[in-house]
Amino acid sequence: MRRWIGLAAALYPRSWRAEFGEEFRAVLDDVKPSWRVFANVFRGAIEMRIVDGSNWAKVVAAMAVAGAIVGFGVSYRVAPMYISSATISVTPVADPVRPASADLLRERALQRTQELQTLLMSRAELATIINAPRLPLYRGELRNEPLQDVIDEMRRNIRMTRLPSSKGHPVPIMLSISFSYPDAPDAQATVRMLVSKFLELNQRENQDRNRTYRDFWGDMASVEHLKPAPPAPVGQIADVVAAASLPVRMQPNYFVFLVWGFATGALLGFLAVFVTRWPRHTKRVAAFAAAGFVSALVVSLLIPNRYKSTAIMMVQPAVLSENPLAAASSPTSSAEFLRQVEPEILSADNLASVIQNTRLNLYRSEQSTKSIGELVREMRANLSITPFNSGSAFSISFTYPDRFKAQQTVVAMISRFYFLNQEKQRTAMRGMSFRQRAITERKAGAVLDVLDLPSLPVVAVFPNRWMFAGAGLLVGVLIGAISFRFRRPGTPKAFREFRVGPKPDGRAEARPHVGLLQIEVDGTDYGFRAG
Amino acid sequence: MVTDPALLVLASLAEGDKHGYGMMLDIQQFTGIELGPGTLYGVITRLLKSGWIRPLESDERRRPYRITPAGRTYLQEQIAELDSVVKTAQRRLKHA
Repeated sequence: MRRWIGLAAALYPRSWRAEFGEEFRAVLDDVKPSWRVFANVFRGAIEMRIVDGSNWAKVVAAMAVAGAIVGFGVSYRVAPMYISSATISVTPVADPVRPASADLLRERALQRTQELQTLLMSRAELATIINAPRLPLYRGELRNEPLQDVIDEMRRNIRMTRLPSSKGHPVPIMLSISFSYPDAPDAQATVRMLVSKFLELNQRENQDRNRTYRDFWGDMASVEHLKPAPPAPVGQIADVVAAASLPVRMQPNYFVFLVWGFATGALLGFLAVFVTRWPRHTKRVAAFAAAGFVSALVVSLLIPNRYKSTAIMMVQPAVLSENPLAAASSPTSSAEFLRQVEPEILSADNLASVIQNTRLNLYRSEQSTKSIGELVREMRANLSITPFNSGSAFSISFTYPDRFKAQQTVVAMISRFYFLNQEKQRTAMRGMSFRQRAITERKAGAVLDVLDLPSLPVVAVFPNRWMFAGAGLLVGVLIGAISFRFRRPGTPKAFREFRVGPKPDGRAEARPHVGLLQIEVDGTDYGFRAG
Repeated sequence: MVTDPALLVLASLAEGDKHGYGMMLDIQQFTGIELGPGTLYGVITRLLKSGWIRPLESDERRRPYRITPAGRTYLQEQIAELDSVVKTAQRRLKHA
């Protein structure tokens, strides 16, 4: 400890050490060494360097470097993450009964891969993995956070990347699944579970399609006395190319910690310089900053909470896209579906009907003061429909002060999606033959699916009270700084004079201090103090 | 309790000349406040610049300091101000 204290003492300015160094070391030899003494000596050295006047830039630089060193040290204390990865291939089966071009086969494989990725990342599937009795994951987080937030964290830790296909072989589609977690065995076990779920979901998709296909052909045969149906298409084969790897230890990003430490150190350095050189200014700015912080916090407490409920819907490709009657049609595009339906969902008529729904009773207090057009615009601003995962799915979210109503509104929007989808199909079926209608109906029944049910939010998305308080603090600092421009200079009301004796060197000087002016006349010091 | 380190150092030296560690021990004895070496020498530097204390010649590593007449006057003024506050507070407490 004495060594550390000695190092801190060496940080004093050279001129100061020349004058006081020897006796200061004598005092340090007498005191009992401790971290408190070290901190006191270190603070004294910084203060002395700032008081020294010309050295403030050195202080800031030294603090920044010290911060960078601390940041670098802290990065070693942060728990490492372990990453495990696996690779899966998705291959479309070439069907001699239903020939398709290579491009179409690749498009189908791609679409299936995206579909399975979306299904795998759904709330229900991830919740099953998190709560798996053999794992369970995120135990600490689950004690303090709602499950929805933990699922979001898990989504951030899962990475699914499509690997480039080998030259001249567009299929199979290669997909890498990796998961990062602080515990190595859990990371590997989770990747194993993700892979087995992926394969399981693919198998279920194939079975569903084949069942629908056989049902359809059974119906057709009984109605139109057709010859026996051709064999059901095999679908897509998903296989494991590389099993979950042994987890790789990933240290935190040292550079980020270094930069953060450097920036924080520099900021603290500037703060230390300001506080030491302008203590009265500091008090004034600190008072304004504290007032801003408290006021903003109080204002944020008066603002009602707003909750966001989110659901995820999936647009499945048409079930019978592989039937011989429809030939080898291109899979249904969800982006195209959204493009057709979204304008109707967000139309004034549709939103007005949701607002006027007596069961929901949205914007109740505003209905007497605002027109329905204004309420529709407000609702449109709070409603968000966003496609993701290459357009195979989209999310619907609604923000509202009442969390239950936020959820119910998303339910109502999902119903509207279903209704509009059916309407669209009915319009398309007008004038169709029985057989064509049967095909289209099956398409209609399978196009839309709810992947994640509307969530019941627990934590408000607005207002973020700490962000409000932080902004208030910054505004307070700004007002405090501006206030110096408009401050009237203080004038002493009266002066008292006192004689303090002659100075040995007889040099005339005037040294202003806080509230005190010392002046020398004819070798005698006089002090004038505001009284 | 007076916590201004400058006043504490001046009050300690008002009794007689002392070196740094002597001042630390004296202040701890009469106030219970433990001044760190960094704080103490920050104050000594400021008091020297203000002309309220001056160093004495010494052959030892430990250099003693003495309060100057200006320092004594400043200390008396500060004590008078504190005394005025104490008396006012006592008077108000009696009438309350």
